[in-house]
Amino acid sequence: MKINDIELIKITENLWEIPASGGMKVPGRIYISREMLEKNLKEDEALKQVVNVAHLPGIQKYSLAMPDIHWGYGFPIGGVAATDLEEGVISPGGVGYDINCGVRLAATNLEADLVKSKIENLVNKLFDLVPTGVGASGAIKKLSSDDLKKVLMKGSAWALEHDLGNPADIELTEESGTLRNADSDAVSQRAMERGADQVGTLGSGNHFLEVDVVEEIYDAKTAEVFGLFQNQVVVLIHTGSRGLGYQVCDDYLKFIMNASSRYGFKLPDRQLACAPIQSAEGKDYISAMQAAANFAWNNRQVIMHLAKKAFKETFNMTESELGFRLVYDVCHNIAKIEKHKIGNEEKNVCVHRKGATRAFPPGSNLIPSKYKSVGQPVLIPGDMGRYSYIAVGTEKAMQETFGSSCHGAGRNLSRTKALKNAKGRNLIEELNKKGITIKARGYKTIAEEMPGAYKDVSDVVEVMHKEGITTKVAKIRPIGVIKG
Amino acid sequence: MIKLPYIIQDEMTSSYKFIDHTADIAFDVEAETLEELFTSAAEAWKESVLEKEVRLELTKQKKIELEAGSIEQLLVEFLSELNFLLFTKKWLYLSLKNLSVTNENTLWKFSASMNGNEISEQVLLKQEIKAITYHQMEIVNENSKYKTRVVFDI
Repeated sequence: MKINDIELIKITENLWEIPASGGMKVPGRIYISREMLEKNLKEDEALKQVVNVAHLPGIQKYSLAMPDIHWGYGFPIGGVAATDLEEGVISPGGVGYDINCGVRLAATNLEADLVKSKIENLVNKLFDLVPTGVGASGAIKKLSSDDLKKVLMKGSAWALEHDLGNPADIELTEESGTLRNADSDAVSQRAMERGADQVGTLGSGNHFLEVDVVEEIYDAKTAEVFGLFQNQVVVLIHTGSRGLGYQVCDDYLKFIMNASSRYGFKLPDRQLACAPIQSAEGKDYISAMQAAANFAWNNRQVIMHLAKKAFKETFNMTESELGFRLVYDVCHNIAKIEKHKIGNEEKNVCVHRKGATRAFPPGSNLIPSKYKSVGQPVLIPGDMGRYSYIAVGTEKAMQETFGSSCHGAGRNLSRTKALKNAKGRNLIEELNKKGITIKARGYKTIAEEMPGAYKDVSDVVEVMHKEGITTKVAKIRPIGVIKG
Repeated sequence: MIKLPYIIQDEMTSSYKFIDHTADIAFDVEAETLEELFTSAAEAWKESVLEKEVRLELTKQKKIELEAGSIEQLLVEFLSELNFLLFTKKWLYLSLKNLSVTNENTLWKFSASMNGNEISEQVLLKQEIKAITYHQMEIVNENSKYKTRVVFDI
């Protein structure tokens, strides 16, 4: 099959290969159904971006894409690429502007009926406590430069030290919420300034905080280990490193572009700018990116704490009655040094996940001991009118995708088209009729983020399930949403 | 922060055109000079972040000077500066004067003086632009006009 002049060879029902040609150092591989391939990828250049990523120096095995692939900047969204630590590069475009954008799932002891009876109060309380929208700020006191540097070095542990979390929250966060090679000195003053008053804020665009109900359980044993049960109320938080992370990406793109003549790389897209991992620029970017990732984990931790407070106040319950606890926190925009099997050899590589979620298997030493028997939780948000999924990592993911899976639904309509579709409709009432209470800073955000603007996330999750990369554990459905 | 009265104007005139982009904001811009290209791109940025054009009664001048290794990088730097001033300093530029875009030995330089002031009304802001990207940006001169596409990550 050919799409936009790019040849695709079918490997399995849901896996397609682009053979290496020209300057490609490895083939491309896309996990996707034929239907999604034909429907979603004809009108943009995401496949071309899979080809472009295959040009990166030191890339290993394949330039990969997950089924939620769409057009990004340099890398496609849904792109995964591992590079050799000695010969390879790190690319800020392979992480994205929103460094450690990710998802956090918290569980409660509460069941749907009780929460639905007070959902309006709860949504209002959440909206009051968690700042949302353009330039949202002031969830907690604006941090001094010294405190902000501590956040950048410590990640979620900073929240713990300030009574904004408990030890179990930290343990159940990917990397325990702290990347150890972070260096706050590698983060510019401008980036610090952008982030100083944004700890504990959601921001705008597709970021959200949702109250959901566990609607369906596919894998009872794993769901039990994750602490999930039918009809349970859970909270899903999607946000990242806010202005601080955007600025780190911006700063290092410029820094690396300016140094690129020294490396002599020939790359098909300026936005793929990269530096050797062992170069000064590469090392500095990794230190700054890790600091921004720590900021993001702390951000989601603080938001979770604020959400717990909203629940406690709305339902007038003690901590133990409420049972508000972290299930897991995953990032989906990151580059990490991990050990993977390349040929017959196990070696450390730099795995870029740009809109892709880590999905480690049972037995991995890098997942919390609580989940070692079943594998790492993989959180895949859909849109605010339908559902989201909780899946689990497998050994096959380690063999084929550097332990990675999909991260969401992906947009179907541009914001302009979504706004046109929303004209003359009362979306708040439409969502209410579906049992969803929504509060947002502006109606425009609701219109742009309306359910029809996104693809059906179940198609994406199904591809990964059928290929055995991640398997479905549970489906959750929103009853309350706050957005920017 | 100072609270200032503002006047909403009806329409903006420009030589840029927004194009449909699935996830973000994109526009094509063209102009006879590089200075005009930068001015129009700044106007498009302003239209992207403001609900409607704003005119502040009191304005202050701010000088801006930038350097970059390519003309595209210079444009990204310039728009990023406007973005930083608005979203972090809450300072909005309203007009540009004395623009200069020059090229010496592969170093591109930009200078201008901006008229603007602090704004306090968050409701005026339509959306947050995370970053000005290099995606599809290539400043070319065709038929005596400079042209490029600009994409914002939002």
